[in-house]
Amino acid sequence: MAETTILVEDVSMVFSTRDGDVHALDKVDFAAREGEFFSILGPSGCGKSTLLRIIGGLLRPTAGRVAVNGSRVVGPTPDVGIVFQSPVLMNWRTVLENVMLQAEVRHLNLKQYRERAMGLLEMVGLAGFEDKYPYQLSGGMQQRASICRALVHDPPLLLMDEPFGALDALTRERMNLELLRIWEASRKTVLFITHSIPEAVFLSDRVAIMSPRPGHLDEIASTRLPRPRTMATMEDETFVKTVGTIRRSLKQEGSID
Amino acid sequence: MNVGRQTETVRPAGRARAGWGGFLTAEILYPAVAVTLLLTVWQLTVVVLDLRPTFLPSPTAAFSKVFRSYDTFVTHAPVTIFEIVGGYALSIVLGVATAFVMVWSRVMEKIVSPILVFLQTIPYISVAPLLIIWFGFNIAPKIVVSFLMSYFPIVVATAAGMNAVENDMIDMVRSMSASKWQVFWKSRFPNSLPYFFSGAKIAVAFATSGAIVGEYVGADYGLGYLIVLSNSDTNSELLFATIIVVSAIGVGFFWLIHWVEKLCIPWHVAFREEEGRAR
Repeated sequence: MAETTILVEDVSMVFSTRDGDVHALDKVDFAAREGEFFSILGPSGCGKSTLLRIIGGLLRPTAGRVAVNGSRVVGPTPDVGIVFQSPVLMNWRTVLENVMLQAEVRHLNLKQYRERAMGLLEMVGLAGFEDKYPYQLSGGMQQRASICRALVHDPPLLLMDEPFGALDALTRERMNLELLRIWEASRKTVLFITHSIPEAVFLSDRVAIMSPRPGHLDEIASTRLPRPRTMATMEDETFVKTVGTIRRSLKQEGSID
Repeated sequence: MNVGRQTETVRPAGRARAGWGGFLTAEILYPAVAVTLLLTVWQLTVVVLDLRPTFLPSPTAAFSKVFRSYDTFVTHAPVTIFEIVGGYALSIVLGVATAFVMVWSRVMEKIVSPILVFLQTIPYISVAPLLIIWFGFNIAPKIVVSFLMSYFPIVVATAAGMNAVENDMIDMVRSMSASKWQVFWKSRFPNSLPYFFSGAKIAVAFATSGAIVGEYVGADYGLGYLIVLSNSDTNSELLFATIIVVSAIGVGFFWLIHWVEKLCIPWHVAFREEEGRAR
């Protein structure tokens, strides 16, 4: 039995706004195991990103407990890599300098991590682009650079907030395959947030389905698909069935019409 | 999985897409034509209407006066330049420091903001005599007026730039276990640079007029003093020649700042040569 990496217990989040309180999360409960690829699937605005920020220690929940690797999250979680919806690259830094930000801020050995950064850039197909500025890259390349930034310090936990949501469908499929390749090589725990059912099923070991606001985890489905997964996986009967089952449960709770 | 990777576009980084010809047309030819046209109309007006030099000297007379009074300008211009540099340097140092304090602490922002707005609304020409009483009949009060007039745009622009960082960017840096100082130094500060330079370019004109205004009230030297002197002598030729020298100094400082800006933030959108532009 693998160890629990992320433990979320009874987490609720209420934002106070001028128009009254907004209940973003309602008693969310789940545990992700070490080395697991765990997805949270739900419609826009169901509080998925809020949950990711809470696990990353960037937001404090109104109620409940979060622990990562056995220690309670009170501030930004150490040893985590976060990939955001947009690449959030600094336009005054080159691709390599953007990746190295992680090492600089964490006071790591720059020389040593520079080599690692170059290796990662090569792995995601950005070799030769390390001295380019973000504006010189396409959206897909920018997001790949931001994945390198999240991985450069070799964190055991990777939090990904709809990282491919802004990409076109073709680039997105390719990025999914690349992400699996990276994950299979490193076996990090990944918490992946998405609103695409096929993406969640294709990537994950387990998929948690989140209801609309206030966000609540209703059901956690295991995908039971063999690895390594390839393009052919998407035509697999189990894949199609799982996608169908998840679609029906989302429909039942009114997330899709 | 390399399929299709080559189809992704990489936008060209190089400038000089339009070449030297394009640069000459855009940067030199157009302004030269505009200025020549303006000066020709001015010259013709003076000649055709046969205006007296005390009423309006011709541009040729004004420009030649600059060279005929070369010794005068060599004596007075450096004083004014020194005052501008002093006031402007103070503005940059204190302006950036003020912006930092305002962005760092919400409480400080609430305290400093109203004082800044109040300072900005003071008509400085009316307090200049007081400044002479405070700082003495020397260049200090001129530096102070130059500083006071150029301080505000630098503070406002720099603070705006330090605040204009996306929340995701801040969270991204925070997720690296960054200290508050690191968040500022790695994200807010570099983000503020383009804004700072915009403010600094506006401020350099204010610093120049500030030094002149300071000299109006009481001075023995300086271009402002020359303007007062030529006004009292109805020496319009000298007046125009002085204005030309003041403008040249202002433009020179402006281009200096622009050049420094280009060196400091070559990544900024304003300095990228993009396809389909400059044609």
